[in-house]
Order: sequence, then structure tokens, then C-alpha cells
Amino acid sequence: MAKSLKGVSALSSLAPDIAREPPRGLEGKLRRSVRWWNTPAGSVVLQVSSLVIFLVIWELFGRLPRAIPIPTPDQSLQAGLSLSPLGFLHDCLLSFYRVGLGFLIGAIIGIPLGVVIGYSPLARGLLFPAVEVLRPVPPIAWIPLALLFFPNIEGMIVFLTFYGAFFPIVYNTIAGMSGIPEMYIHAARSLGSGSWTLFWRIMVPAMLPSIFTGLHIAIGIAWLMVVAGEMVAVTGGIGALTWQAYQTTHYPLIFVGMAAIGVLGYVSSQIIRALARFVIRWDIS
Amino acid sequence: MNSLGVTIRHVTKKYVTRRDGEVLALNDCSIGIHPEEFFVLVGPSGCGKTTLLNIVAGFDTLTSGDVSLGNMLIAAQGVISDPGPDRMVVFQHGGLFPWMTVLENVCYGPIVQKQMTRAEACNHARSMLAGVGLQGIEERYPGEMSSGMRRRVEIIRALIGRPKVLLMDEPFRALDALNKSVVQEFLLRLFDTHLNTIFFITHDLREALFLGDRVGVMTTRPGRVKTIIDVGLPRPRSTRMLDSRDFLRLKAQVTEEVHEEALEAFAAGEREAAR
Repeated sequence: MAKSLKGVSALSSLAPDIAREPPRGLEGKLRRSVRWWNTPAGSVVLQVSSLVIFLVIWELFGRLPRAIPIPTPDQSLQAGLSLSPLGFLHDCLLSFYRVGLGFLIGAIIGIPLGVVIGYSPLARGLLFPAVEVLRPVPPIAWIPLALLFFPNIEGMIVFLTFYGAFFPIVYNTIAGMSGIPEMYIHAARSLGSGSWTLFWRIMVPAMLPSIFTGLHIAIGIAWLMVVAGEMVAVTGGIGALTWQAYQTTHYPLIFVGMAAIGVLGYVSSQIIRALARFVIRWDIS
Repeated sequence: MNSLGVTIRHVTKKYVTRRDGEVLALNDCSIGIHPEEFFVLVGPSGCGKTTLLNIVAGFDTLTSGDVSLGNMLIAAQGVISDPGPDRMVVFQHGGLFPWMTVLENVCYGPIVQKQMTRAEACNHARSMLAGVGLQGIEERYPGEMSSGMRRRVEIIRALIGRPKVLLMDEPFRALDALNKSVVQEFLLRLFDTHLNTIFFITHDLREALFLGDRVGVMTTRPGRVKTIIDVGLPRPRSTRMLDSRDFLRLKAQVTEEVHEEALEAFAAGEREAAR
């Protein structure tokens, strides 16, 4: 139990958690007087300046004297506008589809596996060591073997996204199942639950918050893996677009690809969040 | 007549822990709880009273001795009866399911036991909640209510299936003083009207005397019942009684009687509070 939780926390530190609200800061709690930057208008000014400063630094990097200068914000924007919108959209959707498919397979295999390992000591003894042996290998290290094993590129990329999504889902499901307070099980049995209702109406909802933590981490890693896979395979997708931009010296396009990956990752993480809010209605925290 | 008595005869419980080896949690523990009696077991933390309650509830096994509910043997060596709605439990940390609304929580038992249809159960639950002044919260989740409110709902959830005995494991322990006295009075009113057999566990002597018809005092581990006190205070009782001369005299007298154990209970409580 403690072991699996440790694994979970190690994984969650890897997860890109971009959707979190910025911390309000300690100073805001200590001072009673309102400074201009604590007013709504002031905070908009601050946030806009933050972005401006970011663009200025980027621009400065672009002006550094180098053999091949780094593309400036302006050039990157131009490159983005010059892309054929349909082709770009196709690449985005292709990556999105690969992430979604791998993620879905990861959930379909990972959740039941986590449930079984978390429930039964027999299953835990039999299955968990095998999972543990594989876990420390970073998913990216699987690329060569995946290339060898899968005759078609599509299979390889989906395998990689599946593999990246799989572990956080399994580990968090195990933690969710084995962490159900005994009291709920006792209460449910006293109230006369059969094993069917005990599973579906008690165990499943009790596990859901944990499972969604796993799904949220998993979707981030799935994006990591799809980009890595597409950069190696170069058969469409937003990772391939980014890599090809480098190889064909269309350097400004690199930024377009990176931005698209960021936006798509953000959108998928928001989808999981919305789903969690819809399913876990009782969790008001 | 729905309520039954509980007879606990010479119950001993040993278990093995990795750290301490074999532990004797209960040693030859005997209690006879009468039908429709409010029986309180008071004892210091870790004396095995929760273990005893868990054995009665069917959550734990015993090493020797036996337990009967009415004439039915429910626990003995080799006899394990599954927990069930005849022995409902109200838990120390609050056992309402956080993912169900108040109404769903209260209806759950009658529905899964197939005693009632969903509609019947809902109607029954609504009227039962309204009968004790808990209307208007049916659609709330437990996380949206105060802990005192949650305890009251949990008691209703336990009573809706008409248990033969209500088992309460320090249910008011985590409540602040104000909430505690509200919920204690709530429980007393329910007891006055429903006369369920209640087996109540606490480490608080004052609470024990305030609620119970009889109070059993348990020793520190290995737990056994040292004395049983007839409280003999008239019902209905109210919190005002807590300051009455009769109550204070009784409490002083009992404290004297159980001085040693009370001191240990107090020390254990302090240790717990300091943790």
C-alpha cells in the first residue's frame, strides 16, 4: 500500500499540471491593505505584462547572433498563418486520435487490473511484481522495441501512448481500491448489500477520485509519448510536423508545433477534469 | 416487539500482531443486555470495547465464548454470522457514504435488502427524516452538512431497517461540545419513542451516565467488564439534567467506584488528545 502510494506520488510529480489556478501567495493573506496589483484591473495589467515580458525575452533570444537564429515570435506567427489550415487540423486530430486510443486502451486494461490487484492479495502477489519490474523503465525507452515489434507505425505509436497511460492508471486504481476505508464496507454489509451492490454502489464510487487522479496524470504522459513516437516515425501528427519543421529547416514552424502540442495537451486535461467533475458530483472540495 | 437482547458470554479475543506478537484484547467478557435497554460500555481507549462491538456486529471473530441475539447464536468458535440489518452500526468516524445524498443513504438499506421498492423506500425515508426535524436536506451530500447533522442522518439510516439492536461505536467522539449535546438529546428522544435495544460504546463516563440505563465499566487491556452500574435516572432525560444534583452525585459516586479505571481512561484520553 505504502509502496504503491509512493509510486503514485513519484508519477504525479512528472505530470504537467497546467490547469491549476495560480497560488494567491502568502502576502495576500498577511496584509490587510489592498495594493493596486490586488485589484481585478491591476491583476489583468500584471498578467498582460507577464506575457509581454515573455515575448520580449523570446524576441531577444531570436536576435542573439548565431549561425541559425532562433525564430522570433513574429516569424512564428507568420509561419502558422502560412500553413494550410486543413493539413494542420488533420495533424492535430491525428495526434489527438492516437492519444485518445492509447489512453482508452490503457484505461480499459488498467482500471480492471488495478481493481483486481487492489482487491485480492492473490492477484497482487501474482500480477504486481510483473508490473513493478516494468515500471522503472521510462516509456520512451520502449521506442526501439516497439519499432521492431509493430509492423505498422500506427500500432507502434498507439502502443507507446497506451504504455505511457497504463502505469499511472493501474497504480492509482490500486491505491483507490486498497485505500477504501473498511468502515464503508462494514456499513454496506450491515445494511444488507450483496456483492454486486457492494462493488458497484460502494467500491466503485469510493475509488473514483483516485481513478480520475490516475487518468489525469495518464493523459499528460500519453501526450508525451505521442510526440516522442511521432518524432521518431514521422508519419503525420503534430509531433511529426514539429520534427519535420526542423529537418526541412522551416524553423519558425517548430514553435507552431510546440504551441499546438501545448494547447492540445491542455484541452485533453480539461476534458478529463470536466468528466471528473461530472462523475464525482459529491466531492465539493 | 422488535427489539432483542444481546447476551455476551465469556468472550475472549486473541489476535497476533507483527509488533507485539499475541495480544489478548478481551479476556472472559460477559454482558447481558436486555431487550429495549440502553446499555453503555465505558472504558479507556484501547481496552477492546470496539473489538467487542465488532464481534457482535459480525465484523470480527472471537477466540472463545459466544454471543447471542435473542435466542439466536450469532458468534461462537466456528460460528460466524455475516453482518446484517438486524445489528446496525453507527460508526465512530461517520459511516454515511459521501457519494450518496442523504436520501440515497437512508434508502439504501431497504432497497438493497429488497424490503421496499425504490419509491416506497424514498417515501418512508422522507417521512422518517421529517419526523425528526431533518426535512429539507434530502438532496444534500454528507460533505455539505455539519458533522452533527451527519450523525443524526446516520442514526436514522441505521434505524430505518428496524434493527433488533443498534450498535454505536463512540459515535459522538469527534463532535464539538455543542453538537454533541444536540445529537445526544436527539438520540435520547429517538430512544424514548422507538425503544430500540442500544449497545453504545464511549470512553466518556459523563456521556455514559447521561444516556444509559445501565453502564458497564471495562478494564484496560485485556478488557473485561469490571462493574455494572444501574443508572436509575428518570426518562425522558435532557441536558439540563447534567447539572442536577442527582446526576452529579451519581457521577461522583461512580467515579469513586471506578477510580482506577477512570483515571486510566482519563490518562488515555489525554494521550489521545495530545497526539
